Amino acid sequence: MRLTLHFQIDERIVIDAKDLLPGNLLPMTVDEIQTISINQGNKIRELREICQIQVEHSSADEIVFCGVTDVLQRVGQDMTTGTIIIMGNIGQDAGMRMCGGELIINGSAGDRLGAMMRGGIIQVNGDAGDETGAPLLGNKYGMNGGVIIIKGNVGSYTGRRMRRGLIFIQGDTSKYTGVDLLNGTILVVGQVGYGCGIDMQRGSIVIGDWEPPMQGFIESSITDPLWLHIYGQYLNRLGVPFPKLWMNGKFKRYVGYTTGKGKGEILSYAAV
Amino acid sequence: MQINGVTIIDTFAEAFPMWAARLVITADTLEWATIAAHAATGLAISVVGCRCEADLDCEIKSTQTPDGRPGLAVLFFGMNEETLAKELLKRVGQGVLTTPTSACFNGLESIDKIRVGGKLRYFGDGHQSSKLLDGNRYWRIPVADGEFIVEESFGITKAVGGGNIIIFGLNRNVALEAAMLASKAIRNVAGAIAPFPGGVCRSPSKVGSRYKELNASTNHNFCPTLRGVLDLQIPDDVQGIYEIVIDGLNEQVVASAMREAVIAACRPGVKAITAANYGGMLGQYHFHLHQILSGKSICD
Repeated sequence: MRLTLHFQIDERIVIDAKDLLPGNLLPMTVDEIQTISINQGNKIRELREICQIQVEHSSADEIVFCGVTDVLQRVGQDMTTGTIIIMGNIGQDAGMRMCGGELIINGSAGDRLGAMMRGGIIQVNGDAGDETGAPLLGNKYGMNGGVIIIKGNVGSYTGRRMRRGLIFIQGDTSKYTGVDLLNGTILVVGQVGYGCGIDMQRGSIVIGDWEPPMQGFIESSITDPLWLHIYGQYLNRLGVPFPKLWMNGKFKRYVGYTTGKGKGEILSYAAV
Repeated sequence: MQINGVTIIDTFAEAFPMWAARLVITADTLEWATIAAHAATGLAISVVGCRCEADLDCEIKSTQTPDGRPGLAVLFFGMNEETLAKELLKRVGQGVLTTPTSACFNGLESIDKIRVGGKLRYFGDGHQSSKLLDGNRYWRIPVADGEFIVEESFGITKAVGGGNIIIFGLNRNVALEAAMLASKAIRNVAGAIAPFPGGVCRSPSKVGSRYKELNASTNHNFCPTLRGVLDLQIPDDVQGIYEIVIDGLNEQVVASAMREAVIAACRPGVKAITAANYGGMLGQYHFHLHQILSGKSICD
């Protein structure tokens, strides 16, 4: 079944959309969906007050959000199954603690995209904000599984403390990418900002366009990382374009961070 | 029943349950992947003397392999899970890990798994690391030419071993030519292997021996040079005999491979084709030649 929620909102007040999940809504009747309680700012409203609801028969279980979507927060939080498609930009905390299913954002996402995610796939066809895949404040680990794919650029602290999972950024990142990385994989086709990989303990950051030197890392070798081919094949199977040059190219490998165990790695694409 | 003038004896092959694993071995080139595959499947002819039976299954195109490089699928068959696990650990560790540019992945989705990469990782002496992607863990073991990538676990499944056909030829040359064509036909059946050298066995065996130390001995019934000494079960004008032993991932695959092998072997100079069994008393699976060739259900 395909459920379309067309948000028609005059007041630009944040809406908490955490309960609008395929697993919750799709088993319900239209009447039940319309009367779901939604927090808009400090007020509680029924869903029908803020959006129009349309139901279609479909082979896939999906919910489509359209209209004024950028005021929606926590979309896909704790999602386990099904697909959510956002036809526009989305607010912060999208895909937080997601465990399964697919979240597709045909616009840009706010801060803390996929925070503490455990599984599933998030695809953003625009940009993303800060703290993608990072932990919430007071938590030790960030993203621990799943895949985040971002077509555009990403803000700062991407993959902070991440423990596992994959973030693939086809644009650039801002400062402190992979800072304090415990484990996991961050692939950046473009450039990274200042402070990439500071205090990382394990894990891998692959960068397409980066000028060394970088304090805290030691140049190790020039390598053709086979594990990256596996990631490339996986992303290709998902329909995500993976740089062909990376599949056959050489990378300069740096190990660090030197103040720790030095088991992290940064791979910089270099045409050798 | 006759095919191309060759008599198909109304009998059955008796086969046994085994456990199988399927690995995908890749390398920078198909040549190196083939070398690694041959190293891993070497001396894996029969569980009578070797601890497993193995051979190449098929080539895998680079677009289909986990790492986008040329690869080969190889099949291993063992009598039980424990033996199979030990053999894979040894063979991947000695044959694949040592081959330049190679990597080794699971090629069989199954609930039952055995840890191979998860044990080989210790070769990294603490310098190994892993990547977890889509529920699969890949170990990265540092070696002299970079890293050896091996998957944590390989799927295993119950399989069938010991399907067979026996070719009676008027002379050795025609029997061998027919056997080679049969072996080649089996290579086109996915999930089946003929583990003997070149796929052909020149020494069918029987259970037991007059020498108490031996578990198996030459199957004298199929030895033309013993004609006149013993009462043989072969026609008087048959001078060359070869056996094709077939292992497969399931009954249907073995039956299909036997069928393709028989059809390929039916050519001038071949007198008859039969199969070996133990009277139906030992093996769980019976592949009746006439049923297989007439397309009837093979389950017995």
